[in-house]
Amino acid sequence: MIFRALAFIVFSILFVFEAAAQRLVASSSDPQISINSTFSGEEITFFGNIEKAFDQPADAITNNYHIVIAVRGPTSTRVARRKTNQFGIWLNGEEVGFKNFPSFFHIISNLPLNQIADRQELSVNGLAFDSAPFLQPTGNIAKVGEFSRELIRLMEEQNLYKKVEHGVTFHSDTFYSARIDLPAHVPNGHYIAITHLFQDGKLKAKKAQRFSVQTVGFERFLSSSAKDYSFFYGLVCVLLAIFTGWLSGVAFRR
Amino acid sequence: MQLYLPIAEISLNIFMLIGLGGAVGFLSGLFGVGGGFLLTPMLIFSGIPAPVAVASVTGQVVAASTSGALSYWRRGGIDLKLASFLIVSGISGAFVGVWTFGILRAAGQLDLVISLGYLIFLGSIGSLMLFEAVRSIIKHKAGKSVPHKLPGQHNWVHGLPLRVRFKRSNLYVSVLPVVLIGASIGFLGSLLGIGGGFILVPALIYILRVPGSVVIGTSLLQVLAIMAATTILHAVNSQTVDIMLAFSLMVGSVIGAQFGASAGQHLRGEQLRALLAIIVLAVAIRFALSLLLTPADPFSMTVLSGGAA
Repeated sequence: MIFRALAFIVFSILFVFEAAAQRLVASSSDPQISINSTFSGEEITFFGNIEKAFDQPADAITNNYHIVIAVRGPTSTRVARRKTNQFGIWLNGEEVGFKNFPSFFHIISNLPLNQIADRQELSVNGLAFDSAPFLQPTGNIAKVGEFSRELIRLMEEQNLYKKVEHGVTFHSDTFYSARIDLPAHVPNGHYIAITHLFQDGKLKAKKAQRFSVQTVGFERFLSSSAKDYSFFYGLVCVLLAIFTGWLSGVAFRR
Repeated sequence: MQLYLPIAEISLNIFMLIGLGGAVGFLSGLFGVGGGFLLTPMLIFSGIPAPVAVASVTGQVVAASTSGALSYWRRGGIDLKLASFLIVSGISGAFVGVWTFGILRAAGQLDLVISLGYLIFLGSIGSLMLFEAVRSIIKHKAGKSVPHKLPGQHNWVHGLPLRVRFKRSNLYVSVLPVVLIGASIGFLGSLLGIGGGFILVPALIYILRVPGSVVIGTSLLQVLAIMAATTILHAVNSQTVDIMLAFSLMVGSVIGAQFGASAGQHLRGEQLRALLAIIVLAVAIRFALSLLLTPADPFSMTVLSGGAA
């Protein structure tokens, strides 16, 4: 009896949620990006279709849909520093740290974001670089505004943060695709891509996909042994150096 | 062809790296110096993070000094007892250096200290070398034979206590200056990513009066041992040794050094020294500019702790 009641509640919650929204069927080209010795960046394609929810009538699908895809990389603690002139020398004077700061953040949309939804709606859905969850300052709170703007600017200069307006293409009223460029220095780790469906300035549906970026093969072996077996890694580096030096001494005996 | 550097986490052209190693190797063969003091700045200027540049160049210096040290070893041009004193004190200096390196890196002042360190050492040594070389060139032009300044048999250093006999060098000196020199070179080398040969050789000659027949070999052996220890210390402590970067530089530099050595035979000593002094000063000026000029972008960022790898 209890089980049936629970099932009914769960079902009705699902039902209500589905009734309010269209569905997104989304996929991507590469669930795993491998960084090897010749890695010079990679392109991922995201594509999907907007479909009616199960209970909706056939005419629930209209047009005027907008897609915004947010791709975020692994987070870390990042410090923004400002050089100040002290005693005639420029040195790092002030700093503000940010916890859980995404190391990669691209926002791809089919139109400029301000034509899709208002600032508030975007920010609530994490579609702004300065949304609250992505800026958790530590230390000098008074300067957070300025330092966070500068930090975002630095990330944008490295193509780690990027807004691509008109990056999503609609091939029909409901079928879309988008390409995301991962630069050569893309950080390793787990990524999440959240596709948002907007209509008339309101979020109608969203869907999350995960993918990961990993160094593979020899490079992965090197970076993991540098961390896990750092003494032997250093020792091997020294032996390699001595061997190279010895070999050159033998090869070009002067 | 792009080569992905797993520790620096950037891709660089492999031919650029080997070429850079080759160019520095050429200069080091030409002048008989290790080349770390040129290679580290060049890597920093080409975009490699300073901690990775410093730590990886230590590996390259090991390779560069090995072939030289071996050839002096075969000729018996090494004072093993003196070298072992220098090495033991040097390794303790390197411990302090790597520890300081870690603290400065966390505080965000490593780049500043590296720039200041290079500015002070390269600036003062470059000026001294240039002054000395120009003076001897002028005297040479004037047709006078330059009397080689023979250091006096004893100076105040030789009056210090705890004297030890170094048979091979024909020396009977206090261990205090020996240990102090060794430790300073170890400290500076690990902090700045230089072998320190260009500081060590003059120190051995002018302070300890080590005879010319063993000074180069002994200093090469000390540089080799200290840099080997420093590479391991950096690998363990800061994990910033990029083996791919170090290996590309090694390959380039050992080849470049051969050409440099044969080119060096066609140039006169004081001309070589003047040329080296100018290069050293140029690097010092480059660091001075980065410290004194208003930076184009006063803001910078660093990752303190990684997320899920």
